[in-house]
Amino acid sequence: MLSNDEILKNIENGNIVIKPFNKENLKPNSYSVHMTDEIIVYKNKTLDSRKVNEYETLTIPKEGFTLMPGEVYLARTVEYTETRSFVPLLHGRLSLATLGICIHITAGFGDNGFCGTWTLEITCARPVRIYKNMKIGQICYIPIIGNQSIYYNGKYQNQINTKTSMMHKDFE
Amino acid sequence: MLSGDEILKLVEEKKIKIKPFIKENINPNSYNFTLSDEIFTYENYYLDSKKQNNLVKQVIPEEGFVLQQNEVYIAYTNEFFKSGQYLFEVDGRSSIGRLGIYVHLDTGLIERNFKGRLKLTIKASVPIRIYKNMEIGQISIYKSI
Repeated sequence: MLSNDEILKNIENGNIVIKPFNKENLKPNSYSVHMTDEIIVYKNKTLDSRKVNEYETLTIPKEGFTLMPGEVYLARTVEYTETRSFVPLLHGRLSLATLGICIHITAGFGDNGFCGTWTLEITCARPVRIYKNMKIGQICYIPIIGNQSIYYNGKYQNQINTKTSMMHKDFE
Repeated sequence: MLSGDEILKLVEEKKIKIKPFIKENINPNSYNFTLSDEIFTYENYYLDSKKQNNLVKQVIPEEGFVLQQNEVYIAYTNEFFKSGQYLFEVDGRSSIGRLGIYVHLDTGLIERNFKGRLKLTIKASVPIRIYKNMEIGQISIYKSI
């Protein structure tokens, strides 16, 4: 896993892009990311992995937004990233986990070549209030072994706004 | 973590085994696996970690199966794997996470010399219908140092 100095070096040589970038967000082995004011909830009580699931987009007001247990929320990072030759890994923060908040459910790693903001899949153990622009997680980078002729070109490439699941495309 | 090219090389050199192996399921740094048609739930509501807890098997029909919240389901991949001298890490696909589905709870680590279908511990954040043979997750592969 890369150290802060290595992350910085790879930002300078263009393998890693983080926008906006602020040196103060560098930690010994990761970079801290923040959430925007956008939060998405699915409309139906029961979802269907084969169908397009309707959703609504909410804006987190200044006074915050209360997450409820038994619900899944989608949100995104303020930061846009591009990664080549490394695998980026998104982790939640211990401070949030201590409050019972998970910020990702699966696929905590990104693919080589992924460009976009990171979708957060948020669940909580108890009702808890969250705020826009709060530090929500951190990205670490690990090296890739072997030739790299396959780069990410999937359903979520270049995503900026939060995208809901496109699982239904697998069944089309 | 190994690149997709390296995963293909290991399969071709028979250093790891994935059966059936479909080249299209290779990602930049992982391989997608599919859900079999069997899903298991516990017979009793209260489990006891000191006892054997009986499982009840259900077969996922064509029209799918609705996972309920606050329940843990055990399932297996269609694919048979041999990890050889490598380590696997099981993870869901991004499209699955965005629907609130966990395909493994806690560590997804598969150690060296593993042989078999992968066991998935599935949990749904909200009720959701799933289907057999769907590409539900992926394994990433690590070198053991």
